[in-house]
Amino acid sequence: MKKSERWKDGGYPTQLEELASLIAQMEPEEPEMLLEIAGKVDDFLQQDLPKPSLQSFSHIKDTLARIEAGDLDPKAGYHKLVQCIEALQYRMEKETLSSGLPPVLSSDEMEYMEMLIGVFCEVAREMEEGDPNLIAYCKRSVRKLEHLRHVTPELLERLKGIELILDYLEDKKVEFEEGHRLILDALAQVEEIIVSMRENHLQASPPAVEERQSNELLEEAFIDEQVTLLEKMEEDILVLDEGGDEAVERIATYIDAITDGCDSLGVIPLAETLREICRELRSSSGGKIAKETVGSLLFLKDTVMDFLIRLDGEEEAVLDERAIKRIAGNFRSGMEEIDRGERAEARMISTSVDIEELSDFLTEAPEFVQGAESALMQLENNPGNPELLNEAFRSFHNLKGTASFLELEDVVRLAHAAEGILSEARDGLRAISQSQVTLLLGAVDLMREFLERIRSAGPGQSYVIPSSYYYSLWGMERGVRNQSMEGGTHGVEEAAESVWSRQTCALEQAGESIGRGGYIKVATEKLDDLIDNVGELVIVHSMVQQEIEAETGEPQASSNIALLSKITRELQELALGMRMVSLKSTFRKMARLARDLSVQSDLEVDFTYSGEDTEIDRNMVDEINQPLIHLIRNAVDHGLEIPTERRRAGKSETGHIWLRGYHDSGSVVIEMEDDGRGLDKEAILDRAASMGLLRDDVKLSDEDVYDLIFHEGLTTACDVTDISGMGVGLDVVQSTVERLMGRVEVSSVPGQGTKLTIRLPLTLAIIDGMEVKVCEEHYVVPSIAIQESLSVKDEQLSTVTGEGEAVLLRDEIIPLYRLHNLFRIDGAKLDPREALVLVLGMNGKKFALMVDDIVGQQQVVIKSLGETFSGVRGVSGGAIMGTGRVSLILDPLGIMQLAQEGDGREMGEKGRKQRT
Amino acid sequence: MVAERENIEVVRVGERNTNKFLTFNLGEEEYGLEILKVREIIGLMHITRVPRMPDFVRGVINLRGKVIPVIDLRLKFGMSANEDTEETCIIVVDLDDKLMGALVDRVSEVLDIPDDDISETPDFGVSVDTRFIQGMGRIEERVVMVLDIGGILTSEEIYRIASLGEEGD
Amino acid sequence: MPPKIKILIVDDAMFMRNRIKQILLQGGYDDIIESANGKEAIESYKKHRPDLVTMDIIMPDMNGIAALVRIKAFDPQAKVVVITAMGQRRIVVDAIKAGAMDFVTKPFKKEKVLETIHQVLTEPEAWQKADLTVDDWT
Repeated sequence: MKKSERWKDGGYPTQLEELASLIAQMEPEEPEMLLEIAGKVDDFLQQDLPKPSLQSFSHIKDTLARIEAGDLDPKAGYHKLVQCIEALQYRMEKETLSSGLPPVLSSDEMEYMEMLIGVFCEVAREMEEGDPNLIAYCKRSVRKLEHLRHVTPELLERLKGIELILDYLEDKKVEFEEGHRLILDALAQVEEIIVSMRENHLQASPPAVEERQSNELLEEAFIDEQVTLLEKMEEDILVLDEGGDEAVERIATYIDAITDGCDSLGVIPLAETLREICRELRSSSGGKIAKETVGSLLFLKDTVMDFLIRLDGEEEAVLDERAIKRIAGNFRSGMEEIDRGERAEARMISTSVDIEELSDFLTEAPEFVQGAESALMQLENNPGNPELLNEAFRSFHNLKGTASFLELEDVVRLAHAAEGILSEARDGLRAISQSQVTLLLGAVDLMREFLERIRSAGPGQSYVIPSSYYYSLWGMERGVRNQSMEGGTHGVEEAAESVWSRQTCALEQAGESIGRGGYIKVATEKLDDLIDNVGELVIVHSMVQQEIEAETGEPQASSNIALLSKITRELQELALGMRMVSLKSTFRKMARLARDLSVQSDLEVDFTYSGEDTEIDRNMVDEINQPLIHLIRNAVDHGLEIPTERRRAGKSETGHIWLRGYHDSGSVVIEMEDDGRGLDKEAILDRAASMGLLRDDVKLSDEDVYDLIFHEGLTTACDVTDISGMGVGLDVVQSTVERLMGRVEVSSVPGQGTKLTIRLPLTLAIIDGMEVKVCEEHYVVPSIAIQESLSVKDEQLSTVTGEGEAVLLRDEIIPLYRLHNLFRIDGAKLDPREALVLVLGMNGKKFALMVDDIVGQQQVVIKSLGETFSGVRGVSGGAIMGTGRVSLILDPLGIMQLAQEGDGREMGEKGRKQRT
Repeated sequence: MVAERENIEVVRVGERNTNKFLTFNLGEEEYGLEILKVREIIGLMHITRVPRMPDFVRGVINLRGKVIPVIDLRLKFGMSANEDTEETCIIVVDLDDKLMGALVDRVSEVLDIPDDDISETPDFGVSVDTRFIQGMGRIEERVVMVLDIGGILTSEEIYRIASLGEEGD
Repeated sequence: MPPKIKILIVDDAMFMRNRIKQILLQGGYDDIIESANGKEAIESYKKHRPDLVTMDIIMPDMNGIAALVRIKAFDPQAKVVVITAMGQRRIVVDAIKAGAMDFVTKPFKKEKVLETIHQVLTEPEAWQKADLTVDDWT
């Protein structure tokens, strides 16, 4: 209750009460009264109050000034003042309720203390007997802590206690285990105290942020609703270009609703800003909405959304004031104005900065920037390389460290954000994505710009913040917090995923969910566990079924078993269905991307999507984002022509991109089509020939030629992009899709456009497979790859010298690979005429695979073989069969590669001998 | 999870000079591995061969729905292959939440070996690569070689396994 | 005026080295050597035998902890203070377990650095860590 006394001692509540009543009686026409209130407010501003409260007071002062100057309608002004006072009173009551340490503890000191204690606790915890060094360290840090200003008496008491035990330990007056246990107990208490101190500290003075007020309304459902509103708003924003007052009014209504929400959440400045924007928006009705306005609205949506998601995630919810300012101040005049507005934002270099140090910094910093840049450029082609990640991380880390001494707050923040992305990647939480690298490269450029500007200023002088600063920062910080928003990389941390899936949930169910309250949120890992276990149930069930059928044959038993089978199957379907989500949010993201890209590229792009209700495995949604982003980028950057060129070709100036989703015979199909220049077959062939990819004797079909764009060597060659009409890195698209057991098809008509079709299995957990055997070994071949199976006749077989064996099938010569040779299995059938041949097709390439026999067709649950076998080729996973045994699932592409790497030829020769 | 770990710590601290080891045989030699790393011992079951792996990787098994690898320790240690017998079994070890099976000739007992009785590995007279031996435990007249099972089955080793498989072409 | 004390500053950023050097000079320590990475630091330590080392952690070639372990292996009495960014708690704990005497977080104030260094230097003796193995950290 110390805090309440402090408030009381300062007479704060009484003063606030007085102020409130003054405002209540205010006559806006009387300037003296306004002055009196302003005077009172000044008194408050002198006081040592938490930052949010001070902000509210400045707000009151501004409002008063505006009323006096006649800038603000007295009535509206009055309303505003009352709101501010209410917020202040609310805050005060809350503060009074919480007890704890002085609220004026600066963040740095708190952090320092936490660090000291944190290190101390961990060292003490991990202390082992016979290590006097660690005991000495602990004693030293206890002494240090005791001298810190903010250590509360109760904390001090605990620390003293620990010191005593440490003394005993050192003098061996107490058994090590016992002493250690006592220390651990005391540490637990210390940590509790620290946690509560931290909480109080956060409430007392969040640094430059809008504080989160705990409020009963802060229920998840409520936030979900807000998120849904924002999502719907985005849809409307995206069609704003097509004009129409209706959409504008709808957006305004959404903003109204969101504003109310912000009010309830106690996020007053944001609510005020939104109200203003809404007014502007409504007054613009009838006029054409500028493109820039659309951008601002989208930015608004992202900022608010991000804030809400964090609030929902129980994270330390902070709303960047600058972001609000950016929305507000610049909404009216669109993006250009934003840049100009920011150009005016200047930072002063502190006068306490030593000029020599500053120049040292400016000499050395470019080296770090250069280091970061070169590492990042290499990372683009080599995203997992730990050394490069480290190098980039270290560069930003050094920038951050050095800039922090010069109080170059923006540089520190920028470097910190970059460091965040890199350290996540470095620590293996997720691979770094192309878009993150782009963001980071943006940060590098920005850093250069900063250095340049700082160089031309000096201590005590100002430099202007580069215009893209906030955008870059926002992108990176967002990238770290919620990468799914960006379109996803792989290996998502579960926690983040859980938040995201909750959000997705909210999106998918959009309007329907609200009010009905029929949904619960489930952690994704629980769902995955359920599916795994149901998978096991299915297996065990079929094992039991076989046993019982073999043993009994009782009619009653078999009808019960049939019932059990039915229930089990339904259960499995249900479980799998639970992790199906629609493509809606993916498609929306793509719509957004296409829009952003078209703005950047000066192309007119019309993006249309359909079939967004198509459902797909949740685990695939995240994975499929990246390839789609890639394809859309390619279409905009390379596929679509510039308007003049389009006109010359007799097409509309606006280019079109279509994205479609649908189910087709047990697969999910995502199709992306553009009406651009199409692929240039000749250019691709030339390029491929020059790289030695082509063989003279083989005539390529159109599909074969187009498939070449996925060839790694071809697509990473920069100079080919413009002529081929496709960009770089398509091999990545293909490999991602194939990892998901799917495939990509290309078709293109020169001058008319290109269509890419991605075909994916419904779920990642289960595939349709053909069980085959070679000798005693059983394997599963994914049905999606099987074109046909046949027993070959003598006349179909041939051996191409140096090329290995082949099968002639309807005038087509297909290479024949023997699984027993590739996998080195002894005792298999050696004569292809006695064995069985599967024709497998992947990416337009075909080959025949020889196995002993086919066992049957069945659905199998895919299990990973784990990292032990990450290097195994030709195998993509394991499946547990009805017998309880594991069968390996074949990876047709891997088999093809294995065979082509010389084995095929060598084995072919061998095969011929084996036959003759 | 955390609590569990700490408990284990406490137990170990409590008997700080003695560790428990599961001992098993490969041929005539007796080996031990830290009991804390042992998840369970299962009898021999069907092992699915994984192609193009060195012969000491016996393959994978289904352990209640999980697919886990099995390493034949005899072959790993360069001993001659043996026919599987009634006594052949698989020790499932837990290495940082990753499960692995180790195929051994026979499991014998759980032993307490005081730290003091574990000596450094001599450079001679051991048929096993000394990299995998943590030390030699002496129990009366017997000598138990304490294995660094983590070292044998680390991912580095595993990647080596995989690349060996390729080199074998 | 402290007795003639020799200090080795290890940091890959010149700025940081200068900064620490200035602070040390102001504190009256004027026998200062510098190294820009872990490998250099070890050589320099062997050659000059400084009384104290300030060690950055994140460096190219060989990081601070690896260098620290090697220095301690060479001279168990070595006194090392690690310099690290705020919030990297785990790294600090590792460093201390590997034998560092204390740590300072960036951005640091002059007083804090001098106070820490003074304390470490006046500590009766640097304890020898019982069983230090170089391999643990390399």
